[in-house]
Amino acid sequence: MNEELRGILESDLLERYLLGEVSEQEKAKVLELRRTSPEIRQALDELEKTLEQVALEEEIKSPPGLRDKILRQDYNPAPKTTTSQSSYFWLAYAAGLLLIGGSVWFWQQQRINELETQATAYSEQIAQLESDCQKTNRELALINAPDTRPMILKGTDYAPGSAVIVYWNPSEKACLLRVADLPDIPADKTYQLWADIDGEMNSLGTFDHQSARDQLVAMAYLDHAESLNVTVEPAGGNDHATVSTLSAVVGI
Amino acid sequence: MLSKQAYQRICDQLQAHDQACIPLIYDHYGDALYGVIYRIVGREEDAAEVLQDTFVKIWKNGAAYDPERGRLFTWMINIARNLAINRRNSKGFRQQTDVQTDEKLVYLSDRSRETVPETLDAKGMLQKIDEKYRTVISLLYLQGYTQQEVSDRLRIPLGTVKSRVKIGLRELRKWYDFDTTAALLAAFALAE
Repeated sequence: MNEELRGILESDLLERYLLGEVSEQEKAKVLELRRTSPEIRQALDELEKTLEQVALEEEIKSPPGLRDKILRQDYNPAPKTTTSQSSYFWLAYAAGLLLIGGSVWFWQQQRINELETQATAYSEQIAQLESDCQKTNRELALINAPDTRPMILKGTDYAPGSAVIVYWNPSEKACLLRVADLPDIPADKTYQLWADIDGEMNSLGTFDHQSARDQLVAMAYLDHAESLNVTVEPAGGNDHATVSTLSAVVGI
Repeated sequence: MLSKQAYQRICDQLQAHDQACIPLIYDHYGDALYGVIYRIVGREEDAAEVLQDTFVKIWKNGAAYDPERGRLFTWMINIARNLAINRRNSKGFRQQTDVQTDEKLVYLSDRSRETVPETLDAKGMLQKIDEKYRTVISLLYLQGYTQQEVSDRLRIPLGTVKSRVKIGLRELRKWYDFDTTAALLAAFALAE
């Protein structure tokens, strides 16, 4: 017996078929299998006989007189398609069908449009989620890498209470930043991250302290950095660090 | 169960539109069909009417019955079950049952509200299998519930309903084989 047949015998398709709980498609499938597979035919036959026996055993005596009534029912003429109906009836019937068919078609078209719009929206959402997920995975991998050093830049007298978290990975040459706390600054200012190398401040880029609270921000990485520093600079960033606005710092 | 020959004769007569099959069908299957109908509609006069309708439909569609699609009884019980469910769901039936003061009939009009299944007073093989399988098979096969309704009503997951059907039928199958063999042996013993 092949895998498909075994799968069908183990599923509840045949049982549902006998209990009348199958779709038209499933019904057609069962009938096809019954025709082509002796195993399925035998399984169905056995199930049918068993259920038949159950129904026979659990019969309920019908009321007296019902047998006569049913036997006396008019079973003739043998039912054939009736031809005595007037043509008006058929005209009305056809018009009715057309109307119903038209409405159904219209309704279906609307439904199809709705579903198409929904499907597009869903696929966009999925693409967005996928890209978010990939980004998160990359960040997570970096944070968990053995050579990644988590560092906390602490607040200075200029901005006490500030705290910025940096994940620093020399082998990947990567730097991720997250703001725990930084004071708000005017709209024409920005925060900028610097690496101190041999007494000289080298820019690692600017960042928006609000959005960096909610997500990790990738910054530049430089070898031989001795400390990391955050300063307040004019919007767009500065070539030279304004040391008087040093807000957070950590030594490496 | 009918002998193979008697069964074949009924099938042939029905397909050939020979009215002689009606009393045969009634005598062999009438009470079994009535049992299922009665359990679904819950009232004698409705059950009697539905059984009449069932016979009319069996007769009308007899030529269309195709043995390739399954046994005659399976085909007939599906007709009976569907007509009974339609009757139970019909507006007239609901209105009628709703004015009844008899509690049993009132909740028949909305069976999903029930939480405890009425126990079926099983007579045959059904009484030999475990109650949890008996209940599910009885509700589905003899009382016209869908698997989802059984799941809601017994408050068990749909998957459990499905597996209970499967296992219950397998158990019944064993008893069916056992009873058939026993009946054959008895017949031989009598013939000796």
